Amino acid sequence: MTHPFLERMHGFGSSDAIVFDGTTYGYDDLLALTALWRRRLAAVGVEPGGVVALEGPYSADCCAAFLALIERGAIVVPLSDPPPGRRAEFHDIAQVEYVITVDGGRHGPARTGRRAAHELYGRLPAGGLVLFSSGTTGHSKASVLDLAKVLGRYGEPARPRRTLSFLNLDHIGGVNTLLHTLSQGGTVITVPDRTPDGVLAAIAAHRAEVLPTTPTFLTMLLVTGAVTRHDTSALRLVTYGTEPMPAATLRRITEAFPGVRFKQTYGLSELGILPTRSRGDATPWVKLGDAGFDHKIVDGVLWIRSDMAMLGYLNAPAPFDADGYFDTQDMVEVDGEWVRILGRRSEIINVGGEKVYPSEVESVLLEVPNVADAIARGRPSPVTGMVVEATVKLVEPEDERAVARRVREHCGRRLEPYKVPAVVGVSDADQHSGRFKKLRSAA
Amino acid sequence: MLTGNDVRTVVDREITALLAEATGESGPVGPADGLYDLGLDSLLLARLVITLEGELGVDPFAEGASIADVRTPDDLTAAYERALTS
Repeated sequence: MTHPFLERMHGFGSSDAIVFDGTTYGYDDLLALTALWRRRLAAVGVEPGGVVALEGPYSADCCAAFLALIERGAIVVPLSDPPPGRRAEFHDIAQVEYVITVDGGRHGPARTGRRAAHELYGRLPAGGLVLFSSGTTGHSKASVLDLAKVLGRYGEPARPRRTLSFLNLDHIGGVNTLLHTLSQGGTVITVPDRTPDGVLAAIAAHRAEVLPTTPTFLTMLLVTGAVTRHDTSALRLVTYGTEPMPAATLRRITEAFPGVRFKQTYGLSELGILPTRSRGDATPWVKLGDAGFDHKIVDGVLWIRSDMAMLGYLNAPAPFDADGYFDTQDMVEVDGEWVRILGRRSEIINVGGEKVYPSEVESVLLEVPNVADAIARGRPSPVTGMVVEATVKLVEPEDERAVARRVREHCGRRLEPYKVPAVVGVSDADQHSGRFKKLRSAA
Repeated sequence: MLTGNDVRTVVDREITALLAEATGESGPVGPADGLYDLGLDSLLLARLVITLEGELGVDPFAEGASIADVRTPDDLTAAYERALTS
């Protein structure tokens, strides 16, 4: 029996499904590749509920394997690019039973010899998804999602759009982009490298209409000047999430892309992607979606209940309360029905009892001429407990003392004194992860 | 090796520079003047401690000294001298 999701895809005929490495694959091509993987799964005897790691770059073949695993009712563990040396650890945590590798050739499914027996896996009647958090230090938490609930979010085909897939299949954002786009008969455009020029060149070449991305990446589009080098006339919508948006970036990017709508999303691998409505293009205030979601704010912290929430973590206790709300650890400000994400509770810098959100300081740092990117974090002080320490990346080389003076002068005009960085350093290092999210813990 | 006079010179210089940047003016720094009276609030004092660590290579307050015992440039100089000789 064909899975309803694949059944729907048959109706899209030969229209464009996926662009990979400059080649366009129609829905018919993708389904043919899926059939090939269906046979491979059957040949090895992958059973419904079998735990399968799917490894390799984002390609039509990889997506086809993913679809075949969904159809099979397997528990998919997408590992597009595990951190160095952690692949074996991830296999152990997820109790991976089979490995599929799609890296130009097709390998597997190969049995690992393990038998998965996690209690959460027993609660997945129609397949599951295991996503690892991107903790760069310490341990990554593995969320277990019910694939039937994830797929249940996608309604009838209404708007086929050409969407650039910014995030990989090992991230809830990447999975959501793929499944949502395919459920609508749209086209997923993958990029081999997530550089500002690479992404914008793909938008130009394949007429992408939607770019789901992160505030950090939008900042990079501006500071590298990439926005001025490519034809982005097809672009209609930019969605951004995963971290607070610096006001300076939002203002400048809306000017750089006139006619493009900007929309904030709120997504966590534990909960799925919440639809939001922005109060306006250049504002961080949003209304959180209510279809399938519900939220409450306790002591300034956002708690969310989601129909497609994970069942739990494989390797940590799940922070749900008795009513099923999940502690996002994000601090928010509320204005009637609008909320504004301030930042992670754990990232608050406490300066003499005053709270400082790194994102607010970073937003102001980005206004300083010659500053390409900026990180604000806390530094212990015997006087005030903590002070704000800023590390900036420059566009052009400049004397460090001169930079520090200009930064403090500018921040002094724009911020309360306790928010002004007491220490300003210059670094050439990248200040974001491979997924273009701020790395405040980086040295 | 920094002598007591050197430490004193650095302390005075950095206090003057901080006050000049923060208030646009700074007069002479007397050894027994109250730091707070000179215009150093908690945020400027926090910055001063970080700057002095950079200049002198030690942070006495991470090594047991208490900032609460520091009232004057003299006290501050003594704290750094002790840390440098210990």
